[in-house]
Amino acid sequence: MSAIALRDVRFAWPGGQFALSVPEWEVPSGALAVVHGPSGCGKSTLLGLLGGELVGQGSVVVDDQALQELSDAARRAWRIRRVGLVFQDFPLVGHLDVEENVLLPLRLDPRLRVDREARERARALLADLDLAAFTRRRPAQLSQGERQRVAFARALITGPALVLADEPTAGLDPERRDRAMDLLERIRQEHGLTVVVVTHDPAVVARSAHQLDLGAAS
Amino acid sequence: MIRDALFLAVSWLRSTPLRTTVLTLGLALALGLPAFVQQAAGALEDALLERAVSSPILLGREGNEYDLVMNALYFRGRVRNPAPAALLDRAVAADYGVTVPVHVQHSAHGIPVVGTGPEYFAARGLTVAAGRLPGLLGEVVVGGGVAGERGIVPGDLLRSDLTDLYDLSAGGALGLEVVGVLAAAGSPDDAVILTSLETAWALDGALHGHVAVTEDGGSGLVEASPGIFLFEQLDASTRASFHLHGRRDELPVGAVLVFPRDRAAHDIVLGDFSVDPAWQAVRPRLVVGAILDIVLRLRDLMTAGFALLAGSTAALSAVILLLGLRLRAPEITLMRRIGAAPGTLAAVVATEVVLVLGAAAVLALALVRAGLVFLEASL
Repeated sequence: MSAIALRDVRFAWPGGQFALSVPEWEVPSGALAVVHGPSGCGKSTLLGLLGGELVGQGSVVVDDQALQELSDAARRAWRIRRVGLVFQDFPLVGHLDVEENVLLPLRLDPRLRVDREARERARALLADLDLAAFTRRRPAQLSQGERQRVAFARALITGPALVLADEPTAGLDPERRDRAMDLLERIRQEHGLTVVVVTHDPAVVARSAHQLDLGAAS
Repeated sequence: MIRDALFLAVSWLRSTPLRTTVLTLGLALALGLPAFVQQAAGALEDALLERAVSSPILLGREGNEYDLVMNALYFRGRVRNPAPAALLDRAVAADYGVTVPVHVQHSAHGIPVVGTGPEYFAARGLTVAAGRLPGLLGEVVVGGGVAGERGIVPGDLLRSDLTDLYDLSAGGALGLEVVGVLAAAGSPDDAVILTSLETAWALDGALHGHVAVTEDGGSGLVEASPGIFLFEQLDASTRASFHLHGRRDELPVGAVLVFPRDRAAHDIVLGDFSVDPAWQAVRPRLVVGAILDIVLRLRDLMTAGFALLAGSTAALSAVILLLGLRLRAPEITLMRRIGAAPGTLAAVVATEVVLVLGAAAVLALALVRAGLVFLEASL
């Protein structure tokens, strides 16, 4: 069963200065997939299409949901509940502590609630990622590795089917890169997730059997 | 959604305490100052008008009507060039209605001493909170406000202030007995000592008491010299010896307050005194109205000034809020990318604005209230 199925996907930014084209790509459920290619080839744009942040032409089916058929509001609601997003450089909200940063997606959807159960889930995720002692710390008091793990916990708080990670190893030395990918791999296996990683790092690419080379595709 | 927007807005505001404080204080002043000027002018207007409206006609010597009204009604200084008792006698004889003298020339411990008649208390609606009204020479009753401030109670002795050290004919300081404290009336009467006209004359030195003089060998002549001991206390032991030298109708009463019995009597008073160049009959409401006209113009001017200040403060606050939004741009982008709807993001930002405005409004209200309490106390 495919978690992701792309058919004749095309996307162009207004003005047509850049165009992305993916004739076909499928990722089986529970797999680790990698999108790679040189800078500017459209890796992050494809991640935007998979997360429903952007809409192009063609068919984008994620978690059995045809995204092009959804309204903007429905796509946002689907994204917040079904997709965990890990952004490049792991941005966190500076004035919220670690636990509140993890709970942030629940505060952004009127149908989700920050209740006791949600807090217990957040604490369990933080404990699982060795951050149990950091729940009340502010992002400014965290190391890069700790921020990364908080970003992973935030991506998992809504219990998503899919995690999209944009350059999660950018700027890391090989040892830290491997540790980060090991962690992502462990999360994938323990939570039964489909994970799509955007990277231009060959070592990360080599970890996956489901690759999409946008450099070759374009 | 509102709870979450509130949580995020409060968290952001708490993380920038200096900015939040400056913004709130700035907006509070911008909102509070024009409101205070409006309210203060209104309170001043009410206080002045209430007294003026309740004092239909004031008689006095020809002269500055503003001085006469301010001194005789609001006790803002002595009544200069005071009218004699003959004016009071003439008004009483004409039977216009209730006629009361207002003698404002002295003070005791810095508190104005007003010599008047017993009708004054009923005409002004003044009641006694403790003790009784003055009935005998040397007895006084103290206004509720000043009695509370100074801790004056019935039984206390107040010494009048010396009016002029270099005037040998002026009365010396006299001890006055407090026999009552008035209930606070919210008027200038709260801040004065009220006594009889005769006691006021004793303070003038026109009535005085001294030890018995010796008669010279049955000739009918008495021996009087500067060595005669003048009493400095007006009480039961000295009261009987106080007496008047000279003509009563020449003694000063300051001004005469007339409460005409009806409209016709009102017009007759004005008519009688409009043709006599020695006197003036003043309608305090018109005099105070003229003063208020100046106050209201000043208020409009100040309101316009503060409105400009409020406008510039609001613009500055908007700039600070927009700069705050810029600082929060990465955070807002993050929330949008996670999946927040534009309405949710707008609610977070709007909640922040509403919180700051709400806090500023509460603070402005407190500032206006405190200012008005201070103003009322000083009025």
